[in-house]
Amino acid sequence: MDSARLQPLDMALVAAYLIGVTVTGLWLTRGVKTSRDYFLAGKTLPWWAVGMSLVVSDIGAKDMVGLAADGYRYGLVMMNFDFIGCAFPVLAAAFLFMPFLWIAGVYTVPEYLGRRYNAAVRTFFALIWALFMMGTVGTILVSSAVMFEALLGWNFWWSVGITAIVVGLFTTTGGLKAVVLTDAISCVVLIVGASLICILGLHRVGGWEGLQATIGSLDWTAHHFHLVLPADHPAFPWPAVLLGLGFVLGPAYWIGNQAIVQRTLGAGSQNQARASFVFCAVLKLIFPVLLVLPGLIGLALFYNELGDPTGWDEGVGNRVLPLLVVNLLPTGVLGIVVGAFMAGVVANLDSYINSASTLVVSDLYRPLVRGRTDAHYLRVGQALVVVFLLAGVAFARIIQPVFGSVFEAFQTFMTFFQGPLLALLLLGMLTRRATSAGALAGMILGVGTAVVLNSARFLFGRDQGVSYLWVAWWSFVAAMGGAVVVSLLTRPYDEERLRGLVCWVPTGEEPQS
Amino acid sequence: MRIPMFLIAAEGVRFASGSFLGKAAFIGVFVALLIWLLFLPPRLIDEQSLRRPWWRNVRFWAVVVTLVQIWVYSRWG
Repeated sequence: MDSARLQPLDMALVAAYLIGVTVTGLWLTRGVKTSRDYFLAGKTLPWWAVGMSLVVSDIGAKDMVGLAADGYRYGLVMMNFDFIGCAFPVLAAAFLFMPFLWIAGVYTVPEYLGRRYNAAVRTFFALIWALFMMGTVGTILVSSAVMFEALLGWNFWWSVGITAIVVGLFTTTGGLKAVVLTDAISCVVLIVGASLICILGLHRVGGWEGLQATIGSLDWTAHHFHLVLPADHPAFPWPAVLLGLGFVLGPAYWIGNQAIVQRTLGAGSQNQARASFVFCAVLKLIFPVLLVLPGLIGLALFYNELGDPTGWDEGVGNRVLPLLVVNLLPTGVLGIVVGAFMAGVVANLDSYINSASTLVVSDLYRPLVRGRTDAHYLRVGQALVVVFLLAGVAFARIIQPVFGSVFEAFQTFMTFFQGPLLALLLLGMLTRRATSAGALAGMILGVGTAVVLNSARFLFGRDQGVSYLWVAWWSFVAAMGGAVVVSLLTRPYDEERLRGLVCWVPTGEEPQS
Repeated sequence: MRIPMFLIAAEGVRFASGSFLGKAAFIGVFVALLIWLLFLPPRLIDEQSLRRPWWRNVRFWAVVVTLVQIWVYSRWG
């Protein structure tokens, strides 16, 4: 196995990062008095911190490990996840969709759907999001365990335990403010660490020309230096990337993901929230390079060891990044990169756990248990952080042997409901005609389509499955179709019911603070 | 010189299924986004519809991101 022991200098740098983040997080718990402080940081977050937090909430350990593996396997096409799948929807969200959620004064995306449609839609998506986030926490823990095993020789449960304790310490008490401000620190560490891997790796392979020449000499890498692949490409045909990723998965993630939306709702003003999205889009111009390039460098350096990915067993791809880190980085730099990896784990994990807690309290617990004090809901939110951490730990062990790539696991989770969620959000925000009956029909049809298409991989094997990009697209189309048809057959809402919730209906009141 | 129709048809199929059309489609998305950003009303750019210096103007930075994306897909598409 590609293992190496950290030297004392490396250990000191890693310890400095962990202590710095934990102390900062704990220090920020002082201001938490109410549930609004805990879940929305009292709406005091600055745009730069929210922007950086948005980036590392999206990009974490799973992306570092997964995109390096897929960069090795497929090349530059993986950058589409941060280009067409991010820049386009983030800018649309900044100027068009974010203001709705802001003006509605909601805590969560299901809360908006509940006001726009009905409680059933709200509860359905809240439950699904809670399950999804638990799965996501599991994928983050798996990818961190792979890396810690390689770098530090820790076994699976030791890695998972340490990660959970560090994150749990400040996320439990500090809420969104602690999460976002520690994320900003993690973002800087992540950029520095990932840049060092790219710079040292490129130097080793003889620069960009050397990289192209080495990879170009292999007979199966004809498309490795192209972002747009032919329409008949087996994994990433361009129509599926454009429709599934660019028009469904990307927008659904950046407009409808609770972990993303919650950060912008915690910003100091609508202008700050908008600026945070744009800052995130600027940062996202460099992250695809930092995450996919290591995969190409790994291909150039370790092809003899790792071989052709078509013959890979489960989990081989997850070795690309550890191999690079262990073989490329000198003492001191190794510590910074391991710190960067921990930053990715911590930032990703705290974001999802905090958002899951917010979602369950706001959309499931509060509607069921009404009339309690604000302090009660705050305590429940804090307790749920611990519950989600433990559930994620349990889920991590289940996920590991089932999926070949951690990143693919994350994307597969999303396809079950991202298409239907986006369809309902778009119809709800942009049309007056969408009704709750239409939303329920669209939701059932969309999720049903995703389940049927995704089940092919389990029934007939991974190679016979439908690409998750097509699953996302067709579940979106099914949800949109079902919602439109049933909405047209049912009685429309009057304008008063839609005030402040639909693009073309004026709010008639000041935004809620 | 007359070009046989089947050659034109075959070339059309190759064009449609090839990545050239794909590259054009990706660039087209960002060009459409660029045009939308340039014509956005001021109330969607700033709560108070204020004119801010370029370095504090979110429209400016959004346009920069979009132009970079157009360049990236033109170069590496």
